[in-house]
Amino acid sequence: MSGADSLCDLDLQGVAEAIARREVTSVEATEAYLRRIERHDAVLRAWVTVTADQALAQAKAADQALAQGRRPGPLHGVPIGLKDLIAVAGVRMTAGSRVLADHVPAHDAHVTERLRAAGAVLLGKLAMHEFAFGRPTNDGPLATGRNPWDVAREPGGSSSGSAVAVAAGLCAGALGSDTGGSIRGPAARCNLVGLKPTYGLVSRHGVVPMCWSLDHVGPMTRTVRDTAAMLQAIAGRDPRDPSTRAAPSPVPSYAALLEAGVRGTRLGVLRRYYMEWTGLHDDARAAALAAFDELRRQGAILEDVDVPSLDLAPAAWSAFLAEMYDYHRDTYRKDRESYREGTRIRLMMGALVAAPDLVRAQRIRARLARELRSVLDRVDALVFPGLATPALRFDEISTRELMPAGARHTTPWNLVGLPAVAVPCGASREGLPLSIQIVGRAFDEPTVLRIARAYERATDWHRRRPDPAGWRLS
Amino acid sequence: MNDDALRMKFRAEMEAAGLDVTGRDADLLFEMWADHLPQREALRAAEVAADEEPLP
Repeated sequence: MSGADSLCDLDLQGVAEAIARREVTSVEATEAYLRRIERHDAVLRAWVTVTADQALAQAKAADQALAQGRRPGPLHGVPIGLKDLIAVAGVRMTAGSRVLADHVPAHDAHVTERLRAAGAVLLGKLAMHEFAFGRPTNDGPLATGRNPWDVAREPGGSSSGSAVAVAAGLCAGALGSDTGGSIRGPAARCNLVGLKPTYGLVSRHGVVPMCWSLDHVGPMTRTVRDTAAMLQAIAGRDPRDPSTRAAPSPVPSYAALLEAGVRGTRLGVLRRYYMEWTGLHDDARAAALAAFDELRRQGAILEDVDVPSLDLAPAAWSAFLAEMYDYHRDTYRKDRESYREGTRIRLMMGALVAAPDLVRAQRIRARLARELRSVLDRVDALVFPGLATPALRFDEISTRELMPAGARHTTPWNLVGLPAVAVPCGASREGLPLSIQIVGRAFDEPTVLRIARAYERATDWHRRRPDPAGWRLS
Repeated sequence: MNDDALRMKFRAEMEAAGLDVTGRDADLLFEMWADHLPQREALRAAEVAADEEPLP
């Protein structure tokens, strides 16, 4: 390996291995990312807060530990970023909002503690849509970021900065959160692997909520191996988050079966709901079909399946915005002007959800979960296009729609809490990233990641990198 | 439903929710609410059996 830029082109495991083999120190790796942030973030706007001094101190400690023969965790010395709704003690946390502009948490989130314990170096806090449900913006100190594959396009949200930073090599890996697609959408838009783990596998303690019953925290990385490594670091029960009571204890090894292949694995294709939908972009359809062919070539058994209640899932999801409104109700009444206009309007939509509608949504949610259990008794996982379209230009984004872009592809899996991973699977005619999504049984991340890795191993899509020459504003 | 009726329904729902919104915010909220209405109606129209309980 030579040069800072080549280090920043590595995936997370590549950086971790280079540090472990003493080819590069953690301080050198951290400095390389900091220089790249300095050079490119004025355009890309991935970072809200860069904690350079703390990161370098952590990196120095990591190097000293290594020199003493200690490597306490698999992420030892690896610089990563956190979506700016995940608490780091003593570091400002805005959740993308002026409402929290001066908020400095006193304690780490559970996932922050776990990443520190795994040896990660925390580079700082990453841009996001306001409170995980605002609109993209390029203005002001809380800009939400530009897509490194085309800076005239949005990177997806709400974990926008996490996706931009990893895709552009401004950190080795990142955490995002996903309430309606906020990990998988940006991952798909930026050529990354993004995992929404099973609901309750990863603690949300110390994470600003959007909708409690739909919120998930998970990794965003360049490869499936990287995602498995980050998941290993953060998964497991946490008494401070009751949703984690059902998580396996201890959690299994997420890397153990990664290379086991898909021969004999049964995959359900949601043909009616996704593949035959007229809103699906031709390039996304073609890329997904090619990915299915590759999995079939490797010995997977694909069959069409249907889940009737998927049709109602986005509408049911929208009723849970009542949770978001309730979280913000008091602040909103006292300080509504501090919210951006788009967030303010969407928050109020949560106030307009009637109680019987929320109950109806819960009944549909239960039915959807039941139908999916039945389908997942017959197949090991479901496969479908990650999103309907490649990244949109900023001027193509609707200002009046309540639902997040890509809601059809993402929100059903928040409702039922099943593990869902987006994996790069192609490029549009314009060169923009495309992805497939793989959904499995509850807490069966090992199978979901094994399928994702089998596909990734046979293809080169995850090795594509955006060209920094394009990171200029015209 | 014509526009006047739609706006009357919207105002009634705002009042029931205790929302006090005027000006541009009210206009934008009305647009979003009207745009989303078909989805909400689809949810309300969904057939559910009497024994289909909500998730706990």
